[in-house]
Amino acid sequence: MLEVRDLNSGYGEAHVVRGVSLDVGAGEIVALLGRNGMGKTTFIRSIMGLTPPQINSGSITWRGESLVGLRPHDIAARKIAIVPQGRRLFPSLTVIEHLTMLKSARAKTGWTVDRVFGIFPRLAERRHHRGGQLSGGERGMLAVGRALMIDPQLILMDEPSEGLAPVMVQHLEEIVLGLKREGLSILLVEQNLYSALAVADRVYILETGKVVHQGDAATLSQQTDLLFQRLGVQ
Amino acid sequence: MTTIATQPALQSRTFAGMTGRAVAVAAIVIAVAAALPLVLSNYQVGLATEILIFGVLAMSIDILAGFAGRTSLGHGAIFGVSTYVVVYATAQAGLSPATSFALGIAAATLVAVVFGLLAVRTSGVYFLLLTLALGMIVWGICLRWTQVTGGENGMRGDVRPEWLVSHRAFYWAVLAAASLVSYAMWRFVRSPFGLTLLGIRDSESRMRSLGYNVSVHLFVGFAVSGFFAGVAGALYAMFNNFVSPSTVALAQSVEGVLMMIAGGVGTLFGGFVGAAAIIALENVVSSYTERWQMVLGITFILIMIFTPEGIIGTLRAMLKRKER
Repeated sequence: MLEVRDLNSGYGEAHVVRGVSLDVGAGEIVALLGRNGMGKTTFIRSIMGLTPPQINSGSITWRGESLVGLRPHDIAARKIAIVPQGRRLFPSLTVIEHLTMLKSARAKTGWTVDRVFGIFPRLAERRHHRGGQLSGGERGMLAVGRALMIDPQLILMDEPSEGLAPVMVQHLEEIVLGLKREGLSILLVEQNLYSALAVADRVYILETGKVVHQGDAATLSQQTDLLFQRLGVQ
Repeated sequence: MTTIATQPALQSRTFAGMTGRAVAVAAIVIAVAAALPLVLSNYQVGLATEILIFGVLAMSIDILAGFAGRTSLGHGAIFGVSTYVVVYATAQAGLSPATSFALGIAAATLVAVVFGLLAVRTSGVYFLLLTLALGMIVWGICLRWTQVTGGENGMRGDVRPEWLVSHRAFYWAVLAAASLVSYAMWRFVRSPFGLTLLGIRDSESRMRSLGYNVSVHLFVGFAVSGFFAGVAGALYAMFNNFVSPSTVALAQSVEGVLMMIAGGVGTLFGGFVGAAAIIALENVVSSYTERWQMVLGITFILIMIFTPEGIIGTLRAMLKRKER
C-alpha cells in the first residue's frame, strides 16, 4: 500500500533522511526504530507532506499514487492519519470536541465517537475534559482516537509510547493489535524497542538517516548482538 | 487482549442541539426582551433595537476573533455595504424591502468573500492591518462614488415596510431576527466545522499536521461571519433609513470589536451584553457631558485592565469559582 523509495529529505543544508526505502502492506504493522535524532520523525513528516522538512528526491507512493508534493490535508483525504509525537492536542477543546471536528457525533459510518469510546472507555468518562486537563495516557488515547475519526487505512504513529507508564504502554500495544485486526496498516515510529517488537510484523532500523537493518520482528528479537550494536539494548 | 468493541456514548437530552437548561435560559431571555417594549418609552425601544442589531455585528466579529483567533477591523465595512445596498435598492432601485434585504446580505457576503480571499493567509497584526486597509478601501469608494452612494451626504430612503413602521413592531421583528441568527451562529461555532476554527485558534500548525486545510477553513469562517455582519447591516438599514460613509468607516469596525471585547471574546452571546453596555454608556453619558467619548475611553481602559475576559467571561469565571 505504502511504498517509499530512496527518499532523501532534510532541513535546508541538513540532509536528515538518506535514501530510505520502506513498504507497509495492507493490514501490516511496520516499526521504524532508531535512537534519538536518527531521522524517524523527519521521515514520518515527509510522508505526511508536512514542511519542514523538504523532500529532495525519492518517491512516496500510496495505492499507486504519488504523495510527493501533496499538501497534508490532501494526504489526509487519502485516508492516511498521523498520531504526532507529543500528542499535540488542542488545549481549549474537550475530548468529545476533538473527536467531532469535521465528523458529526451522529455519524453512523466508519469510526464514530461511540466506537472510539468503546476502545477507550476512559475517554468516555473524560468526554467533557479539555485537552490540557488530561493525563499522559489519556492524551495518547485521544491522539489515537482523533486519528481514527478520519477513517484511516494507514496510521502513522510517532512514538506513541513516549512518556507513558508501562501499564499504559501495554494497553496501547493491545489497541494497536486490535486496529491491525480491523485491517488498518500502521507505521509505528518508536524508540521503545520492546513495545515495537511486541506488535510489529516487520522492522526497519534507522541510523543517521539510513536504513541499516530490515526484517521480521520475530527474527530481530532473537538477534541480540544486532540490537545491541544498532540500538544499544541488551 | 482488547477487542475493538463498541460502547454507546452517554447521550444527554437535548432540544435543537441545546441542553434543557440552555433552552430554559434562552426562552427566559427572549421572553424578557420581548416584554421590554411594553414598559419602555419609544426612545428606549429604539436603543434596545440598536443594541440587538449591534449585538449581531459583535457576534459576527466574535466568530472570527473568539473562535478562529483572527480579529477583523473590516467588519464595519461589510456591515455598511449591506446597509448601503438595502437603502439603495429600496430608495433608488425601487425594489421591495424583502428583495433589498436579501441583496444587502448577499453583497456583504460577497465583500466578505473578497476580504477572506485576501486576508486568510495572514494572522495577528497583519490580519488586523489588512482587514483595516480593505475596510478603508470600501469607505473610500462609498465616499467618492457620489453618483451611487451620495458621497458624504449619504442616502435616505424609507426602507421599512409599512407593517414595521412602529417602534414596537420593528423591535419585535429585529428581536426575532437576532434570536434566529444568534441560534444559527451558536450552531455554527458548535458544529464540527466550528470546532476546527477553535483548533486553528489553538494551533494552526497542529491543525495542518492533522490534515486540515487551514486557509479554506478560515476563508469559510470569514465568509460566514461576513454573512451575519450583513444581516446586522441590513437590519440597520431598516432601523436608520439612512446610510452615509460613517456607516462603513473604521469607527464602525472598532465599535463592533469593542462591543465584542466588552462582552467577552469567545463568548458569542457576550456581543449583546457588550453592545448593551456601550450603547447605554454612549447615550447615558452623552446626556450628562459633552466629553462622553473621554468617559467611554476610560471605561474601555478599565475593562481591559480589570476584566480582560469581558463581562460575560468574568461572570462565567465567578460562577465557576462559586461552583467549586
